[in-house]
Amino acid sequence: MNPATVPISEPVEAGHSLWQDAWARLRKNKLALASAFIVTALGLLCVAAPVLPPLGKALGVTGLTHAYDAQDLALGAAPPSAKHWLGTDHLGRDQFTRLLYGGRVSLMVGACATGVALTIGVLYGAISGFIGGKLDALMMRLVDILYALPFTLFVILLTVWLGRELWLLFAAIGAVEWLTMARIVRGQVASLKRTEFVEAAHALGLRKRRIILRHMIPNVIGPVIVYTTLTVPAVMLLEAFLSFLGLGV
Amino acid sequence: MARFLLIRLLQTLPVLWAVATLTFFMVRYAPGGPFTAEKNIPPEILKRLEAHYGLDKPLSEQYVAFLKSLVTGQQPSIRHSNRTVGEIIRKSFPVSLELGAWALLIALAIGLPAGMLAAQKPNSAQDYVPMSAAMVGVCLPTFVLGPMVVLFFALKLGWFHTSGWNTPGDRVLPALTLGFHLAAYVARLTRGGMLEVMGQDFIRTARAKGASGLRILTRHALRGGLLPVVTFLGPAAAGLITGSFVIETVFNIPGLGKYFVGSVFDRDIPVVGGTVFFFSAIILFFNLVVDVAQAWLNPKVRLE
Repeated sequence: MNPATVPISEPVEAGHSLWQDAWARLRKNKLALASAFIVTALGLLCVAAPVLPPLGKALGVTGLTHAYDAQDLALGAAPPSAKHWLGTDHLGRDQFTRLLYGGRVSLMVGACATGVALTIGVLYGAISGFIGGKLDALMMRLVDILYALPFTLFVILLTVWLGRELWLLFAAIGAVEWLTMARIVRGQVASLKRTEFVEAAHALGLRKRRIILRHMIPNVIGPVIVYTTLTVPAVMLLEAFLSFLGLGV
Repeated sequence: MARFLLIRLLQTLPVLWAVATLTFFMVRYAPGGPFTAEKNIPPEILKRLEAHYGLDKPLSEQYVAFLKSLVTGQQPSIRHSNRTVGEIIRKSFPVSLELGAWALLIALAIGLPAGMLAAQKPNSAQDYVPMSAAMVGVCLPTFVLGPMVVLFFALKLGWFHTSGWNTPGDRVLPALTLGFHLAAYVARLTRGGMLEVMGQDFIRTARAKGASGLRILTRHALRGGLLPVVTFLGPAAAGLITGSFVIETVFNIPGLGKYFVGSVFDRDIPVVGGTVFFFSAIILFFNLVVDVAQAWLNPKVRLE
């Protein structure tokens, strides 16, 4: 080998960022990838529901051309067919289209109500755990009381109180789902408070607000993400329960 | 131990009082009243109705009467005017309790073995099959599963009645529906808890000294592995025995859950107050039971 072609030093091996690492591990997990694909596809279908009828007409696919409120009373409750992929309900409305529209509401509830629950829960828990002492005891007693209160009562009265608007319903569901989140965050923050790097931040003279936002919250994000993924389906089911009661969408 | 129990019981009193107070003012300030549903009541009759139930008195007096009625349970219901709150609870709670107990039994009988089986050989068929079934159980809400089992077992096969609460056979479908849903959670929690314990040093020690697989499972792993299940079951059991509104509606069962939801819609203050108070007391009681059970299962937890 010609010695002149040998590089003087070994090329530096490219490092992996945390995101690259996570992506590589995710790619190895076939089950997770397949699930992610299905969920994304379903989500996109739901989001795209309003543009599907013109698209279906253009492509000549009759199964996609139905409006969610178009009735064909002569049809009644029909079984699945080429024209109606999932059949029709008792008023002759296309079930597939209605399912997609229902999915839109579920997705919206999942995102918005979880957002509300996340915001209240994380802030409440972080403040309670960080400040500690009497305030902490008081705030956690309040959580205990709300825990002992049946959430059905709370949600029914909130929806009656706030009116029947969609985003108020999200707020109402979020307002009853933040309790566990607050407890988790509080526990994490209370234990983080005694760590050295937080002490160092105190010694450097950072304000409390900054310590909570910059040092505490990034460190509690792990359990919060896990619990958030559990909250999304929980609020969707809660919305379905409200519909069962006649208070939903 | 006795001291711990006494202090904890005393601590529940202010919580119960706060729950009752919150309930009273929330229902009183919510729009609508117990008589708004009935159309066109002449004002003078409405006035007499309100006077009859003490709703015309100042709010503070109503509040005191409300607190008193929680203790005695003697307040008459507004909606079911021939019965008192105490009678309603005494009549419908045993129904919910029985249904809840059966469901709990089914959940444990299916969920615990399934979870333990899955934890024995993680990431094998023995793990995937029960855990996939559990995932289905978690995803299926009871108001979907309920009508489905009715359709199949009651209408197609004709084994049971579609609804009601008269013969022993009427217990089967609602208890199965409720129990299967809960079993899914129990199985998942059992698997997680057992896997965590099985990886620990003291299990390896037990294995090294030659204990058999069965002995390790029953003597060493089970206590620690069941901790998450116990934590979950406390509030879940409290919810179960106080009545599941969905199940009671689907199967038309005269349980507590239906009275509770109905009374909130009717603003039937005495019944709302009574059922909420009852429900909260049971939740708090089960939380206490969970704490004691945790201390018994886990030597690291101390009751203070």
